[in-house]
Formats: sequence, C-alpha cells, structure tokens
Amino acid sequence: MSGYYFLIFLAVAGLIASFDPLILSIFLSLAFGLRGQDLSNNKQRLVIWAYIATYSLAIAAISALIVSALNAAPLRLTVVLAIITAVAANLWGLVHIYNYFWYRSFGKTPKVLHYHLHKRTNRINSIEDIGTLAAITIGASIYNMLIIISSFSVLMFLISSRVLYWPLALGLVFSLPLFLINSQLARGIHLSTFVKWKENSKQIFELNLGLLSIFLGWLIFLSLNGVFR
Amino acid sequence: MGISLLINYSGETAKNLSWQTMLAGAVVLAALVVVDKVIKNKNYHMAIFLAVAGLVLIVTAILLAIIIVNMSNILDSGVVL
Repeated sequence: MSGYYFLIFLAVAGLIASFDPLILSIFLSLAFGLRGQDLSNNKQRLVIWAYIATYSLAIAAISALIVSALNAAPLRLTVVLAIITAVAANLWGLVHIYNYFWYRSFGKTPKVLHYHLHKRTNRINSIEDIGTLAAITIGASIYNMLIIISSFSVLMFLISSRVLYWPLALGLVFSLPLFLINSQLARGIHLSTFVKWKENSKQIFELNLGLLSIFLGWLIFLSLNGVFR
Repeated sequence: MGISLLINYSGETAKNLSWQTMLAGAVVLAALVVVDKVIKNKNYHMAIFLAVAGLVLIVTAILLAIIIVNMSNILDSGVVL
C-alpha cells in the first residue's frame, strides 16, 4: 500500500475511532467545568487548546512507542504480538457491537478514575492539571485506547514502518472532533447542543467503533499475509 | 482444499485466500448491519448479534489458520513492506 493510500485510510479510520462517547463526555465536562470557574474567555480557550494539544501529543507518543518497540523486537515476537493485537481488536469490536445493541457499561471507565476526573475538570489551575487531565482522558478510555491505538500502530509498522510521522498524524486525527467542537463553542453554539448530540449518537458511535475495530483486526491479518506488498 | 493449496503453494495463495475471506466477511457483516437497520425490531437484536459474533469469529479463525499455515513463508520473507 502506498503512503498516500495509507494516509487516506488513517484519516478516515482515525476519524471514526476518534468519536468515542467517553472522550467526548470528558471533553464536554471539561468545557462545562471551565465555565463554572472565575476565568476570562481567553484563558478558558487557552486551557482547552492546551488540553487538546496535550491529548494529541500523548496519543502520538503512545503510537510512536508501540511502533518503535515493534521495530526493535525480533521477527517472531513481532508476528505473535501482531496476531494478539488482531484477535484483541476483533473481540473488542464485538464488545462495542454488544454496547450498540444493549447500551451497557462493558469496557467503560475504570471506577478509580471517575473521582479524579470529576476533581480535575472542576479545578484547573496549572499546566500540570491540563497534562493530568489529558492523561486521565486516555486512562478513562484505556481499553479502547490500548486496543485501537495498538491496532493502528501495528498496521503502521506492517505497512510503512519507516515513516515516523504516522503516529503524529494519528494524534492529530484523534483530536480533530475536540478541535471542531471547541471551534463551534467559541462561535457561540451552546454546550447543551453538543451534550444532546452526543447522547443521541452514542449508540451509532459504538457501532462505528465496533465495525472499525473488527476491520482493523482483519487488516492486520491481511498485512501479515503480505496482501499489501 | 484451501489448506492443501496453502501447503503446496503458500505465499500467493495465502494472499488471495485471506483477502477473499475478509471481503466475504465484510460483505456479510455489512448485510447484517443493513438488516438490523431495516428491521428495527428489538426482538431480533440477540439473533443479529449472535450472527455478527459467529461471523467475526469464523472469519478470524480462517485468517488465523491461513497465517499459521503460511508462517514459514512469513518468517522467511519478513513482515514489513
């Protein structure tokens, strides 16, 4: 697969994966929490942009770390890890499809993070708080992040491991919905509009994530068999 | 027949079998999603979910079997493009 096609694939698939109801919930909570604080509009915007940038860089760093680890690992181990990731992606896809039919809490935020999440979204005083919140955001969607980002990273490694800017592109694509929502909030669209939209669409997001996860798993199998050579 | 073809010819046959399997799986999966959207009846959710799960597990098992049979070829030629 040429780099051009892979970039298109990464953009489309990454965008589908980025619409995770959990991530959107946390982002909207952050925006809501900031409004309750005694901050100027400019400072509120600055905090949100810093949060989006940190979140994007964190995803890029995780992905780059996985690709580098795969590059350094022996061939046999790489194949085994790729197979495990593919099988996990397929099973994870089924969990999302289960959530689509019967909206349950399978694979949702670990309880220990709920408390910290609530605490942080209501009190942002420093850059450290923003970094912690970005880390908690990824932690809150930890199962999704681990499996989906690992699948993307394995595909990057199998299809085009020498191109190191793929992880950065993935980080940018993952933060795109947050960027768009924040732009719309800055234009004056009310926060409740997005909360309502997220609540109405969460089952569709689950279906999309499920199908994408299954598709990523199958693509890893195809890459291992040399289909994209 | 697919497995014996793989054992005899490996590389190229494995490639063809795997993308054909995935394509067939993707088409059936898309059809199941369309059926769910058309029916819109909660009574059929369990049946559709079981069909999706069965399909995903079968396709995954076939792709995994192709990889296992083709493993020596994968290790000889490397996995990276």
